[in-house]
Amino acid sequence: MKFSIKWLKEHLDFNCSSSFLSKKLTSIGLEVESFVDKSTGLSDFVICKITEIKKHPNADRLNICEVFDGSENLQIVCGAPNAKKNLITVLARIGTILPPTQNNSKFKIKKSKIRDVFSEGMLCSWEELGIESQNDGIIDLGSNLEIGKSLQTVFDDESKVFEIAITPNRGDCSGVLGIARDLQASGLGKLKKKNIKDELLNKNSKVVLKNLLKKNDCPEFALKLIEGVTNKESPQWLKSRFRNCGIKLISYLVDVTNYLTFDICRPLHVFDYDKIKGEIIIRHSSDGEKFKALDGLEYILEKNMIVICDDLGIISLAGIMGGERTACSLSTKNVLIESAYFNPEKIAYTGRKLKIDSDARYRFERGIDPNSTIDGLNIATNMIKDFCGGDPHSVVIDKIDKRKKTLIKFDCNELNSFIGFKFEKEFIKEKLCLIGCKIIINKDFIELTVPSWRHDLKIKEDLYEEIVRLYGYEKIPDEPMKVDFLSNKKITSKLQQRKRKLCRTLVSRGFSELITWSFVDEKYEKIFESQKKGKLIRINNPISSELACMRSNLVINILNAIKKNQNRGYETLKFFEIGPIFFGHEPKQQDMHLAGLCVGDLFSKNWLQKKREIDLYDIKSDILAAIYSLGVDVNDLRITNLNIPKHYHPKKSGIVKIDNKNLGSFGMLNPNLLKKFGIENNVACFEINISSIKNNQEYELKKKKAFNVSKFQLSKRDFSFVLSKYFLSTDLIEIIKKVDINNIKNVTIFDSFETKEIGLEKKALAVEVILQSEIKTLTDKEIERISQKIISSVEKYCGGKLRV
Amino acid sequence: MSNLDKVFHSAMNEIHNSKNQKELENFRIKYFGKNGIINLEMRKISSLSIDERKNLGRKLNIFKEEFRVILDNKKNQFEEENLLKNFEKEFLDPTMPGRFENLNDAKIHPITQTTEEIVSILGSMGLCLVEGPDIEDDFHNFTALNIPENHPARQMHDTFYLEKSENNNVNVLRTHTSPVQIREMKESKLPIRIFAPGRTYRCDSDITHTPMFHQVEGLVVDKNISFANLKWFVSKFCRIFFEKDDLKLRFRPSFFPFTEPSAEVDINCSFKKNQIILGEGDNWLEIMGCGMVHPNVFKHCNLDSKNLSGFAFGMGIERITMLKNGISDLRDFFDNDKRWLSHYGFNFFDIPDLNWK
Repeated sequence: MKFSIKWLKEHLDFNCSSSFLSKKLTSIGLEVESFVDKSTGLSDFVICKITEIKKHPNADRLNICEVFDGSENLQIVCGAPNAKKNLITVLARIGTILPPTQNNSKFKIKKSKIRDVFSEGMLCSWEELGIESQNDGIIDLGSNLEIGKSLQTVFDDESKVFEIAITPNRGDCSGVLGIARDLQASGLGKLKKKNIKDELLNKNSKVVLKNLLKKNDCPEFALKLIEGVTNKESPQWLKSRFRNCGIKLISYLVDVTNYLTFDICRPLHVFDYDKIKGEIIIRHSSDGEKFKALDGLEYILEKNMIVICDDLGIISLAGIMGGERTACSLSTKNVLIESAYFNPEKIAYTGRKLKIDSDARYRFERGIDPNSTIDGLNIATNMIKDFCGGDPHSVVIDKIDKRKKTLIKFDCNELNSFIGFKFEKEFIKEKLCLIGCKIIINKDFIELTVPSWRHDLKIKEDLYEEIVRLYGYEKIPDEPMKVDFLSNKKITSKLQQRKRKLCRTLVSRGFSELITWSFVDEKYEKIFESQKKGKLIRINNPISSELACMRSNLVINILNAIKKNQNRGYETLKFFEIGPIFFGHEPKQQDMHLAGLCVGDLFSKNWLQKKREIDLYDIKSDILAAIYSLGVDVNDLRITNLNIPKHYHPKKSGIVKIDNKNLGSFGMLNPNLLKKFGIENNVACFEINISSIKNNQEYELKKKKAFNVSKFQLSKRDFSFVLSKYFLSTDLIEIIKKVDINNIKNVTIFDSFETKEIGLEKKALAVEVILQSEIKTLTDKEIERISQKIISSVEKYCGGKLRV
Repeated sequence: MSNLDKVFHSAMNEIHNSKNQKELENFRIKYFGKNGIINLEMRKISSLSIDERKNLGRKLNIFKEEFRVILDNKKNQFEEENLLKNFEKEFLDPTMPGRFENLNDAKIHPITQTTEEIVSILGSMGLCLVEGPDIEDDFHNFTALNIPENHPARQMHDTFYLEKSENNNVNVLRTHTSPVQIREMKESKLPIRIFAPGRTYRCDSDITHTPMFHQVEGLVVDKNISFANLKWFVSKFCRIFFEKDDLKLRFRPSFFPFTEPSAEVDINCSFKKNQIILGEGDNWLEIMGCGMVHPNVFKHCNLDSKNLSGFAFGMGIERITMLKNGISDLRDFFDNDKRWLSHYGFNFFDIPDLNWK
């Protein structure tokens, strides 16, 4: 909402600097977004008069003007088509600096020669002064101005324009009057009393009105006919006010309705009465009814929208936009003014459904003053009569008898404890009166009637806000809060703690953390969909097709990030994300996942180590480190290669299980998948479903046991077994451990190789077995016996042979 | 000078002038070897008188002692020299790259770091972290927060709607973290002191908007919570978070459907050389919204506003992260550019703590 200081002064008597006013507005909740003084920087420009004009001898489009600047005559070459003798315009003398504009940076006027003719300055357009965006030739200042004075003297408070942001609750301030009223309540200035001429003695109207919606959507509807008007362009003062405040100028009759919309927040509509056929009816629309609005567009209405009709159909979409057929034009002779009050919710609904934004809708949906119907008509009538002449008829009105008033009662003590500050009762009374409440005080209780223009005041808390707002939020002293630190509630949940541990562990291992959109391109999601039961979770109104579907995994976005960074020239990348994935359309159908991906070479361009591609065993150590950081004993994990998700390479991947439940997966990604992302390198990946880890799981490390180690000697034995290539090492370890649970402390694989001698589809695994007893030192004989048992167990259960 | 003295003298000289360890060893053998001069002299002792014996014995002992010292010194000297010579040969170039030089590369995303900072501050101020779902129903995201269907406030949120669910519900991606308030108030016992960071979504994308962003919501509900408490709490938080004890705050009236009174909070700053400096100057930057919980919100959560009150606040995590760390473009947070992440990210050992006053 924009308004000039001069406009405000028409409603409010005040005297303060614009910066004080700006602070005040913001402090009462009318946040100032900008303040522009268009006269700033114009003091060097001079009002001048063209005394003679003749054609430039060497250029068709240029004129040579003789210009009087109050003290001397100057010769100036000018190309503006509107330059003419006796025009009072604006001169930039030699040395004057022109402000920067859209097209030019700032520059200094110099004496120059234009096509062999000297020019001693420049005649300016509003555009060149940076005041208007289009160039209509040099400035025409009209008459009655003193030649030689600074251009700044032409500007007054009309050129000082505030723009304020209005919160949805303060519809009353989308008119200058409302702003003035609120400023007065805050202690700045005094409202001017305005007498509205009420023309009761007009002749009886011939307009016939039927309001079928009196009981619900249109409690009040009034019309006034003025016959015999002469519509024309608006006068200069209104033009410049509208220009400064960014309001579109149309013709005076229409401009008056817009003026009152912005002045007293009273939207009106004017019809060309000669274009209306028959009686006027306010009714609900029917489904599919068509309406051509002033903006030239045809709208198809739903049922139950509020429409104003004549015998031929809809002439206006109530509170939103008038119709094209009955619009006023410069040739309008008889004008019918509409002033009404509509159900705000209905206006909001209709406007949103039809996607029409208008100044009227903005105000009606926030709620205007229902008592301004007649005042609005009268002010408009006076404005029209004074400028366009005409013969007003009496008001035709169809409305409900009585409107409900809002009554609120509150206890001052409650107010004081709610705000944490003791307000004087006098202060409360004064402020509530100033915003327009009617008050009764009974001891500590205040009972009041809310003013008709304040739809936002419904409950006592709304009034508490008014009181503290007008007192000043900044003047309420801070009051420390008592905090019960003894609460044994944990600050963070287990899930949060896990997220934090995982994040820091992975960063310490060289992974960078990403945060990516929760949505993905459907085409990628479909690749993963085939392996899930659930359907795609689509967004109805996505930003773009690339962000149209909720993600079921984190891999897609990380792959896209890898591709993007590869395009930037990075070859080795390690990324992870911890975030939600979705498996249903309902709230809570989501899990917290972790995915880590790496691609490229390790030790590339490293003089100490040979470069090699990241492989399965790199990513395996990453997932185990991650799981370990959660406090899970890695010895409790079981790794299998069954039921590998399809986005992995089927033979280069594994599943991590605990208590027979899946905890995560790791491996090389399926090259078929990577192709779809345009990635040619091998990518290693691991995923953990963090949500699947239940609290209080037994496998989380409990309190540490007492420190207790065997004091007897420890022995090591190495074995090398030849096994089938497909035999899993984890099964070998399991079987060896079972040979003697008490004395075999640890089994470690320390080599694996395949050679011709070993045989086709065979491999050799070298194992170190650590033996130690808790109760004695093992003898050579005992160790030998265990060793033999290991060899025979491996032969029996693993089909392996000791390599000799 | 006796004959023996001459031997002593030349021995000392020879050792002193020896050029290397081998020469030195030769001299040692010459004098102290099995058939060395000293041993030869010692053998003579038996043929001497007791007095002469004593005399010669003493002399020889002194010589032995002195010779050993000077020989050892010389020997050490040669060993050190040799070591030094070998050092030359053992040269390694310390300016060559080390094994792992990419330590600075991997970083924690700034959003995560800010969230953890918030956890440490609000946690120490007595609030507990809770989380809510990203997909919300209309009730939690709007209705319960006093945002009815046709209220203009709904248009402040450009909402993403999901396709109808199997149960025929049209759910939304939460437009703010405020629905977590509702879930918490419906489920928890008083007093409620929570904060809820998380992802939020709005159908908007330009220089200053991304379709997904992060917010953190705070809620305190108890008996006798006042607007003055809210001011204290929010001011305290801002001063700690921005690490400026003298940060100025401006509370100005605003509107949120779920709080009454409502306020927007600005902090002071100055602009110098295109940089924002917080905590000095007379310019204001908006950083959060807050207010006293609206009675209608309590009603929707089956709480009776007669006997309790509360405050809530909410802010954009990206925004405060940008202000604190001098990040200028919002969109970079989600661009996943490795260079940006390395530049603005945090190390794994940068653990937010409570080192504040």
